[in-house]
Amino acid sequence: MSNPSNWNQASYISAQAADARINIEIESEGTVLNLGPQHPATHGTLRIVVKLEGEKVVSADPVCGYMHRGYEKLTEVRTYAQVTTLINRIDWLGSFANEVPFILAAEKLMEVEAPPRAQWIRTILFEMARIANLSVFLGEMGVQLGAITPVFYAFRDREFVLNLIESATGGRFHPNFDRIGGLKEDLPKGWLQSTQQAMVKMRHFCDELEQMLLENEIFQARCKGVGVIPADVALNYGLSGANLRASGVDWDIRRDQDCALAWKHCDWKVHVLDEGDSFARYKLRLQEVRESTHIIDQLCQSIPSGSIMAKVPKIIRVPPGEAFVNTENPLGEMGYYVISKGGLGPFRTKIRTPSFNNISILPWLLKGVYLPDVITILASLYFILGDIDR
Amino acid sequence: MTEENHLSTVSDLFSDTVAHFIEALSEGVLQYESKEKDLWIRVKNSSWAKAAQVAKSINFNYFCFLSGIDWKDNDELGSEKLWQAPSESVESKSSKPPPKLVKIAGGQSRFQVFARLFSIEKKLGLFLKTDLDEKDLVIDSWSHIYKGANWHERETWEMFGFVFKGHSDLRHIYLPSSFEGNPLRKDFSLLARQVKPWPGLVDPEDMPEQPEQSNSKQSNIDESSNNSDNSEQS
Amino acid sequence: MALVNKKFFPKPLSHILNNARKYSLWVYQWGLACCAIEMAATFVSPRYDVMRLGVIPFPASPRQADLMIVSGTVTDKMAPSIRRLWEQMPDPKYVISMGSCANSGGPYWDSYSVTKGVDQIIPVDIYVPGCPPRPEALLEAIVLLQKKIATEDVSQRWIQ
Repeated sequence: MSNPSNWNQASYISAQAADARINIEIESEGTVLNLGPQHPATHGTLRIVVKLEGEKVVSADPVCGYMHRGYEKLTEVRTYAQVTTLINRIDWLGSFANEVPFILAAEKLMEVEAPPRAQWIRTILFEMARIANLSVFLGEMGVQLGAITPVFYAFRDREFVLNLIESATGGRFHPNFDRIGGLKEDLPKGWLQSTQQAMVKMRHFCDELEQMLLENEIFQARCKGVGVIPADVALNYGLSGANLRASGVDWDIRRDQDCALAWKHCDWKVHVLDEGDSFARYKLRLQEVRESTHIIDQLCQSIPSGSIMAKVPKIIRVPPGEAFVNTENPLGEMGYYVISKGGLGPFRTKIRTPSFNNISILPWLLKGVYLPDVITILASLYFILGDIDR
Repeated sequence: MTEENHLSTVSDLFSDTVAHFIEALSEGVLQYESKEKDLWIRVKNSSWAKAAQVAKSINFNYFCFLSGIDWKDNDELGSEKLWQAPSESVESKSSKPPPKLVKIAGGQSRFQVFARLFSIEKKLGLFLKTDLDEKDLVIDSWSHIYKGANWHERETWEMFGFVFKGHSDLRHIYLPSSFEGNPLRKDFSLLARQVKPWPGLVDPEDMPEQPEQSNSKQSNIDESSNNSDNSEQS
Repeated sequence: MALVNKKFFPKPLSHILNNARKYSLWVYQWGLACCAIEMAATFVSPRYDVMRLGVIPFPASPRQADLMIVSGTVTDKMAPSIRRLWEQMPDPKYVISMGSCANSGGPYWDSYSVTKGVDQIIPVDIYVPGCPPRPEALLEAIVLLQKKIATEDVSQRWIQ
């Protein structure tokens, strides 16, 4: 039906040869299992070459890059406004949370600060992105372990949050709503009330999952004690977010760092667990979703009035300098190191994504575990491919 | 610049840290600067690995990232150089105070490696930077000090072509192994942009009113299309 | 099937066969990027419920699938695998390209590592625009594909 061009054939052959080389490098004795690049457990296109002896993993080599889109290079040929469109798509489940640190870094260089109302709305949307992101995890983890029902619940209740994001920003997924100096638009009428109603539903969703999965004996048996990460190893690999807090490190950027966003104005708790296993990571994320709903509730009640945009020039040129801003994204620490030379676009942007570090622990973590536990560990570490490969 | 000059630019939060580095590396510390809760230190290429050990010994135990910078900007790029400041505005602003230093703890050479570490206990950030000789892009690896540096060094090797001495497997991490070039270097131009500039930045065509001008414009368009054909062929 | 081999296929039979085929599309989900989540929302969420259109999203492998939905950014590293799995699908097979990235490269049109459109590798029947398209858009694409299947002449398709 179609004839691939010569170029396609050449690239196809060379890529196949490269794949074969990887396989030969790793292959010696035992079985080599090629997990992915298209595998349900990798939710995306991560490929893991696992060497087995019996059912035990001898070595695991993650091969990423199947989703590498060259973000850091592309930011160099985009203006600041265009970069926001692009970086929405790094962690595609919590899109709004990707925009915030970049905009904050640009604001830091320009020395402008968004008015309080804008910061409040940013924080609400940020936490909504967290709920939208983590609720998929809460459902997906069940699917990976053989319980298919939770994912239906997750995708059902996630829609409530997505609808709210859509009615405020115009996009279900990629809002592109954050601007240097504020926000694109104010909230629609009645949005805050419907948000609070949706948060009640999300808390109900958390309760349901807690009863359905967390108290389930099979789930516990498959998760408890599997994939234990000690705190010092986690720090050494640069794990962040819930993966780090589940290992007993009490560090949350929302609380511990001076940030313009409104977290400091509400009363909430950072959950920390000491076990460091897959079960702790699941439990912690469930608590975080619940905590997010409480944060949103408080912010909805205390939201100040006023403008949503600071005074910024129409054509944005960011003064020369370097700035690094990180935030506690749904997956962990996300940071942008922005270098500007005074032009319309950044000179260089280093994007520090959480999943890249979270996944780099896999060769260490998967050594010596049994094959079914590989899936548990992969699911509990929770990564998003766009976030690994950028 | 002398050390005393710099100590004044470092906030009290970091005076201990800086003192530690100077004690351990002495000549190796070239420059330092602090802003809010972050400290930038530029070290000599030869003391890069030792700087990491010092940082780890004073509790900067969280590895955030490691990457490189290519400071070259006078290259003839096919793509638009959006990062460039407009020349006329610089002239008009010349009466105003000069802009801030572009390279925080910056260096002289084209390539730089920089990394961020964080201390969970003190809640302080630390950026380490070092210059690379353009002819000899070799630097010590951190992968035995911070495990997380392993993948970041692979990425930096792929994107910039820096060789990390002591790294166990420097192979492609993102791109297929047949890929040639180092994408994040400034002289790596994006082919799609060379063939066709982004339409959003091209001025719209004028109204076709005067026949003489439109003729001349047509010839221009012909020339430009020839050019683009050439670039496609090349 | 003997009739097919004689290069002749009666229209009523073709109609019945097409109707049967269009309501039992086993779909192989090639979820790659953001669009994969919208695809999952279409297939998994009770709100959109794709199975009422006769689409069954759980084939064990591409060898049992009739329809492949490529949703998301296709990179040069991924492209060979897509081609290979498409080749494994039995004929008649259909491809839906979902989202700007799979259609044309989308926001990564100038990237060094992204394939500018999955139609460079495999033939595409329906393109769904959007970044990412809403679940409703994917549902419409499936309806369009079913229309296409309904009007197909089986003898044209199978006898070559």
